[in-house]
Amino acid sequence: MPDSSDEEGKQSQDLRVMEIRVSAMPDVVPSLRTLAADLAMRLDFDLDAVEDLRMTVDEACSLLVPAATDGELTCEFRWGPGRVEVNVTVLAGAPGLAQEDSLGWQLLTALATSARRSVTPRDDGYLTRVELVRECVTVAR
Amino acid sequence: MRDGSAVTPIGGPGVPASPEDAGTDVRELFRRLRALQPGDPSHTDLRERLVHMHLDLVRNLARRFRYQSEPMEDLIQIATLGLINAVDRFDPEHGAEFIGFAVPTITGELRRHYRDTGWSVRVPRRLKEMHARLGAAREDLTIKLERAPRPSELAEHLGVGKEEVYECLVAERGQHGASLDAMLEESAHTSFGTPDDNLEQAELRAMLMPLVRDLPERDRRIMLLRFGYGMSQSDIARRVGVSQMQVSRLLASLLRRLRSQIEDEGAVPD
Repeated sequence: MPDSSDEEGKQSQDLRVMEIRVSAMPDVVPSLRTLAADLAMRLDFDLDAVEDLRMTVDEACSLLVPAATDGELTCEFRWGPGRVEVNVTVLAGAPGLAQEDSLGWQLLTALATSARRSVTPRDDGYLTRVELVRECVTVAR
Repeated sequence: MRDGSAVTPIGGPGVPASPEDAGTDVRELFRRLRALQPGDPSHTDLRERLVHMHLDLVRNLARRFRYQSEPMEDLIQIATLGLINAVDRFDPEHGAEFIGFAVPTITGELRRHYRDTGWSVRVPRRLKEMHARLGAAREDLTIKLERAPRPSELAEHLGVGKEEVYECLVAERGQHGASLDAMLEESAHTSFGTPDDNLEQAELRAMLMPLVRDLPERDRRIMLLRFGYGMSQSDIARRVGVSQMQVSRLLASLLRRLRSQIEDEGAVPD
C-alpha cells in the first residue's frame, strides 16, 4: 500500500484493540472468525468484505493452531474506520510455518488486503505470527 | 367455476388429474365422503381419489414456495399433507369451493414448514421475517450498487435500525447447520479428536476373551484375581487354598498357553 507514513501513524493511533488468548484447539476457530466478522459488520464493511475477513481469520488460525507447542494461541484485533487488523500468534516448534506457496497462504493473500508472516526465534521455540489487514474500500472514512 | 379449471390461475395450466375426473362435481364427491364413516373402505377410496384429483394443485403451490435450498420433494410432501388436511376438513355445505379452501390450507402448511423447520437453530419469528426482507434487500442493493451492500445501506433501504440488521445477519448464520465433519474436510487442521489411549488394549482384550472363557473355572478365577484385581500371588494362594508356588506355576503355564493360542489365532486373519 502506498500509504504515507503520516497516514499510517494516524491510523494506528485511532485503532481500537482487543486481544484474545485461547487454547490452540480447532474448536475455538469458529468463535474467533465470528468475532472478526462481527467487528467488520459493525464497522459497516460491505457484506462481501465481512465474509472475506471471516474466511481469512479462519484460514490464519487453522494454519497456526496445529503448530502451537504450548497449546496457546493469541489473536489480536485492531480496528478503526474501514480497517480491521488481525494478528494471530503461536509459539511453534519449527520455523517453517505458513509457507508462501501453500494453498492456505495463497488464500490469505487473496482475501486480505495484506497478509504478512513473521517468525521470531526464541529460547523455547519460534514465535510465529500471521498479520492480516483487511480494508473495506466502499466505507467512507 | 369448476374446481378443475380453478387450478389455472395459480400456476401453470391446470390439468385435471385424469380424464374421468374432468367432469366430476367435487362438491358432490365431498357430500358422499361426509356421508360415509371414516374407516369404511369406500370412505378411504373416495378420500384418496379426492386427494389424487388435486395433486396438480399441490405441485403448483409447492413450486411457488421454492425460494431457497429446500428440496422440491420435501415441499411437495408438505403441500400434500396440507391437501390431505384440506380434504378431511372441507365442509361441502359451507358454500365455498373446495379449491378456495384448499389453497390457504396448503400454503399455510408450507409457510409453517418454513417457519418451524427451515432453520437449524431456533431464532425468533421477528428475525425470520426480517431475514426474508433482508435477503430481498440484499439482492436489490447488490444490483443497484454493483457490489455487496453495507449493513447501513441495508438498514436504510429497509427503514430499520442498524442493530436490527446486525442481529439478523448474525442470526442468519444459524439457518443452516454445519456438520462437525466439515471442520475436518474444509480446513487444514485435521486433528479433530484423537484415538482413545486404550484402543489397542481393547483389541487385545477382545482377542483374549474367548480364550479366557474356555479356561477351567479355577484358572479363570486366578487370572481375574491376579490381572483383574491386581492381587499378589500369596494373596491369591490364600484365597484359592493352594500354595503361592502353585499359583506362580499355574499363572506361568496359563500365560504360556494363552500366548500360543493368540499366536495361532493371529496367524489366521493375516
